[in-house]
Amino acid sequence: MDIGMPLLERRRLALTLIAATATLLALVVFGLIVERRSGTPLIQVGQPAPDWTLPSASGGSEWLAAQRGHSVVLVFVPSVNCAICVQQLRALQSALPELRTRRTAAFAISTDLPAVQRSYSAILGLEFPLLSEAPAAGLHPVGSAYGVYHGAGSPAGPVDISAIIVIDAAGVVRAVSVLPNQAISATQLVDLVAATSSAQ
Amino acid sequence: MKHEPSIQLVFLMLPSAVLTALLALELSFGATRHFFLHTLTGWDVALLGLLAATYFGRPQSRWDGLALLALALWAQMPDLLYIQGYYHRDWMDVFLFHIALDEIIALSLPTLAVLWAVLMVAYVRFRLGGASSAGAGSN
Repeated sequence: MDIGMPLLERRRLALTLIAATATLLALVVFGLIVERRSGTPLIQVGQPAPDWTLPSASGGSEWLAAQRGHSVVLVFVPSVNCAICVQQLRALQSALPELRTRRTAAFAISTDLPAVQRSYSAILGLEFPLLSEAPAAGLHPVGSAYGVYHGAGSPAGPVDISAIIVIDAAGVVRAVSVLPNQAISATQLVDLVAATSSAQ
Repeated sequence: MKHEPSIQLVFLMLPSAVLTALLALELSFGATRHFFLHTLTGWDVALLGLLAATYFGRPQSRWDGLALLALALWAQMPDLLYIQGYYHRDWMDVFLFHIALDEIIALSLPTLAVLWAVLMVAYVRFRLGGASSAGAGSN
């Protein structure tokens, strides 16, 4: 085939194409391996809650160790920008007064960027800290430690489930509620916390 | 009519100017790295395709830039879907491995940027230079 290009140039082009394609493929394969391996088993009741420090929508940082001495409710949602997630966040907001009387701190964690969370937090009138574990921040160390990222649920995703974790004052997991594509109500949330405190 | 390589590079990149609207939106959310990650993915794949076309004898065209824009938009599709309320899920890797590359952004962004620079040089050398030396002008 005459393409009007000297043979040496054609070979150089072929080499460039091969090298660039190989680089791109290597990057994609590595990304896919990391993506698949970030799926870890769901945390179980009785296990110590993995510590975390995450940026908050309000601009600061929150960390679990600072909550030692009282219970914590962690609500993982895939995003602040999906119908079920909004329903779950609103339920947590409604449960907040009751949780406060039970000396239970509430946090929600999503994969959105803090600026996105800030905007939604204002729109939804959320008073609890909304924490960000955006993909751009790394490999979801918190969600992976709790086993809520790339789980076995359907559809799979960075977070494919609404997961609620209750941690006691000593930092031990006391309840794990996982409902794929389903939000729980404020009453159910309070009941979950109440059940763990009565069980202690 | 055959233009200077610099003008042809303007033709190549000009359609992607449309992406500045998306950049402005992502800037407001602090997602600049995210924007460039997927834009570069689209550009790199498009440049690879155009260089492969050169290898198989297809001459440079003033419409090459549309391939860059189209693939950059394809790579950004999950972000456009996100605006519509569909959060990121693993199946969105069909959009040029959007999720997988996000997971390793610290590595993927600089790699894709270097690859883009190399492919742009290759585009000038093989697709613009090659076409002019062969006298194979575009339409």
